[in-house]
Amino acid sequence: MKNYLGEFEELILLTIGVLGSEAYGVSIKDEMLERTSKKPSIGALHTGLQRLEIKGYIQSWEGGATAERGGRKKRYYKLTNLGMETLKNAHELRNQMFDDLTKLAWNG
Amino acid sequence: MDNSQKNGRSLLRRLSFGLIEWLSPEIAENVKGDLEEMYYRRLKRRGKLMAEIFLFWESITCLKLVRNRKGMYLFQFFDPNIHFKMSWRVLIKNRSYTLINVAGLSIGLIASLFIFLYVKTEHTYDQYHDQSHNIYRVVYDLTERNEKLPWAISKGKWARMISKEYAQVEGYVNITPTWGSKSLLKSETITDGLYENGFVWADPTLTSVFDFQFLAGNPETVLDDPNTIIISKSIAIKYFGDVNSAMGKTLNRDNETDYKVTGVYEQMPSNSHFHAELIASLMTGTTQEDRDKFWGYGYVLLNENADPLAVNESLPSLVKAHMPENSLLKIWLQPLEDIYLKSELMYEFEPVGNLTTTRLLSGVGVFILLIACFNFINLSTAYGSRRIKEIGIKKVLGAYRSNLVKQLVLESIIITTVAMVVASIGTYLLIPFVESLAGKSLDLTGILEYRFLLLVFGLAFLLGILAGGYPAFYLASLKPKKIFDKGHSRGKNLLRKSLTVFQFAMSITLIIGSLVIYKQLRYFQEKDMGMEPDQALVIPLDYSDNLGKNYRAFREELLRNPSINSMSMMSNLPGELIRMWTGDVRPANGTEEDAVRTKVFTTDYDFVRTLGLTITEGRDFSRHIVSDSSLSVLINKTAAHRLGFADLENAFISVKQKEHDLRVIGIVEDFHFASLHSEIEPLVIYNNPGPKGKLVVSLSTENLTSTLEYIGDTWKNYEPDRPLETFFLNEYFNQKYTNERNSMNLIISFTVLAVFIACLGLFGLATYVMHGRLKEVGIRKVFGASVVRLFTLLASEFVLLVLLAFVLISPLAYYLADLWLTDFAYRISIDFWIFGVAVLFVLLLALATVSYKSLYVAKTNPTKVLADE
Repeated sequence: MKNYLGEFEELILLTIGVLGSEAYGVSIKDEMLERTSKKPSIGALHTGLQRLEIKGYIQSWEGGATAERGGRKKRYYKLTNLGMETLKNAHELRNQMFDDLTKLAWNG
Repeated sequence: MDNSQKNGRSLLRRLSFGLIEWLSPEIAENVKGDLEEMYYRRLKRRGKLMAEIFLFWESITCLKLVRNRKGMYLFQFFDPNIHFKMSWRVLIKNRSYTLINVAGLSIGLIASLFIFLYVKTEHTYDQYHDQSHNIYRVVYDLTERNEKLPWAISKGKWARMISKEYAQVEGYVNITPTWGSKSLLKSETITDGLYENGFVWADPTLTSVFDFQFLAGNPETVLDDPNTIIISKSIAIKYFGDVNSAMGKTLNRDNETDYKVTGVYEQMPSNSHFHAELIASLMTGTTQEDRDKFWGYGYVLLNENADPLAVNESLPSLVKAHMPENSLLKIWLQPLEDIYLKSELMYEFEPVGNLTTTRLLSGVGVFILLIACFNFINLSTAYGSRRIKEIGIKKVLGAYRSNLVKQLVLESIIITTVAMVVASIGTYLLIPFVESLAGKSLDLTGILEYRFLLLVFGLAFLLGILAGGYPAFYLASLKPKKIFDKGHSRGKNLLRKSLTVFQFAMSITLIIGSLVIYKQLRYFQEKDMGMEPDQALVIPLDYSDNLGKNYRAFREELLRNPSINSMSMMSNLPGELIRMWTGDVRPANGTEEDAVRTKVFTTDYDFVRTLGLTITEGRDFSRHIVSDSSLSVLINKTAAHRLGFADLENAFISVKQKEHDLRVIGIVEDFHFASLHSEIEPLVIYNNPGPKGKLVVSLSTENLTSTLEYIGDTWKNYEPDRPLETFFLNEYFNQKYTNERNSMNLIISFTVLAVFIACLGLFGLATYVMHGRLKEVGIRKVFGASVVRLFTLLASEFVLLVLLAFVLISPLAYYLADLWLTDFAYRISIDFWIFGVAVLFVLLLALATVSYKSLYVAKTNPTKVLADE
């Protein structure tokens, strides 16, 4: 299947989308924890981010430096059009299948 | 990031960030930023420790980010949470295995870390000087009658002249010691005086060549004036209370000279080839001419671009210009850094190290590390085979081979890392103990640096991968079908067996080595020195005070005590080579060709009696024969032999310095007047004591305390300005072999450790083999084999391994022992029994270890093991 998304990858994409312009490593982690009680390790999160960026679903840019990061710059992420589309596709696919499932259960 | 911020970071944080950078250089900045942010958040909520631990943990999870060149994630399915949890459970479940492994490894690591530190210390001597690689010592090389006499000492003029003649030489300093005698020092507060070692005189240029850490005083000018002195911190505290109050005060030496304290320096480091506690200006009461003639140690400082080889090559012409035509004197420059470990000169400042011993010790260190590693491999494989079914099931359920390998390797890395942590803590705690064993402080600079720690833990990591890797790959590569096959054979275990043979071999070598060293030192202590110095009390009279003049009266008064047998004044003690003169002697009727180079004792009546020597021919000096007071000599047997005196008839010798020929009145049995390291040389004993020297008093063993009191009281009458200082001659001899004793202590302690570790490994191996043979034993028992018979069967394999190891290693062990012994002129023979004892010891130990398991197996009820067939 083209443009397949893993569960964790989909979750990252969704979180980035939800966060809008405020999506960077720590905020993504926080948001995930708040919404799903999932607590990805930094290694896992960045592996996912790296992977998604290579695939072209997200893009990143450097933001301003803050003292709380030891003077390091934040790297912000946002969905690309391709990313958005892939998310939609995944969503549609799922909705479609769920509809079919309920119909089947209803009529079956 | 500025440096101060970097230094403010804790070790763990730097380690974590280092790890991230190493694992994922591309996005390190980003990841580090995130981690830092979370760190500060946790810092507020949960405190520093937790924040640091989380940080470290998170940095480990970055392992996931590692990609190979094609961009594939190597640890895609690596979930540290799960892997660590699994490893932890496995390790806790097999507690004894984990414990044995961690214990064996950490003991091995502690031992090799210490050996590393010790050997490192031995190699750092004198390198603390800024210019150490440019400092050279002026040494003599007297070659006479094909006999090479390398001397560490030189006359003051040479260093000065070399520095004057060569543009490449920037400076020089001459240091003159007190040649082994202690100095009596008095200050305002210590009016009775105390005896101190480590008093030297030095040129004012001292501080331009050597580095001293001054606590007070101006380093440039401290010794410029006569009667000035600089002292170490401990001397300052001892005599003046503290560093600052010492400045400008007066110290008196030997009731003769007053010195003004112009500087106080931090104690010289222990890795220095000399340790001066008090350094007086050489300008005190001397002219340049005097200083040129003084014997001492001369050092020159070459500039950065100088070619020491070229200077050395041109030195003969300098000597030629300043010495008589036929002089055999050779001078050369010896690198400062070579003095301690890489030279064997006579008349050294302090005893120097021994390169062979250091190398042997390094060898022991490598042995121990290898034994520990082999152990680890053996145990991992042995216990891994117990998990063979677990692995089979996992494979059937679809586990990737690579994940199984990672799991097993991770377990092994956890063990090595824990062992490394235990070893580091253990090493840290044991430092004082090992320092007392080694008799010196260890050079610890740099071991707390982050780079060294990273290296150590990198090593643990590597060891974990290598040692855990073999069993991991082996186990993970097995086909599940094969695992569950009834007929699955465990193979010949060639690797395990050869590792065991290797371990045995190294243990045997270490034991043989220890025995040889032990025996040699026992030999030293018990060797017939040719004299009996047991109750010989030494009173140093290295100065010319009242006693020098009243010696005769003092002597008469002492001899009035019935417990004092005899006494004799000597120019030097036996073994006190640095004060001993050398002279050419020829038979009176012989020519210059027949001259023999001899050592000289100047002494007085009762020399032979006091030291307990034996006269093989002729007689001792006698007070009743007038000519004995100046015209007679004693010689030792070696001298008699070299001079060609078969008997004492017409035995006259002639010496350059004396007009008259001297009559040889007696021949003394050879005794060890120099050192057991060197062969006995020809010796001439003159009856002509000077006012300075050592008074040796032979005491009877009874009433020792009261005799000593009597000597003390008598002393006070004659020498009110001086406290009495005495020591026993045999203590002095014992001290001479401190170096050997220390290295023996080290090697023997480490051998015990090595053998212990090897036993741990053996235990693991035995466990493995026994479990594999449970069923075989069960069947044998059913057929009626006795426990004894079974035990023999099971243990014989190990006996064979030990014997094989012994046969393989004996030649090497012999060679190494022989190598170490070549340093001693008087050495033990390497007896057969040493090898016998070593192999027997290892055999017994192996049997004891194995029997624990094999008896268990042999006694097991066969129904239990055979039930599941």
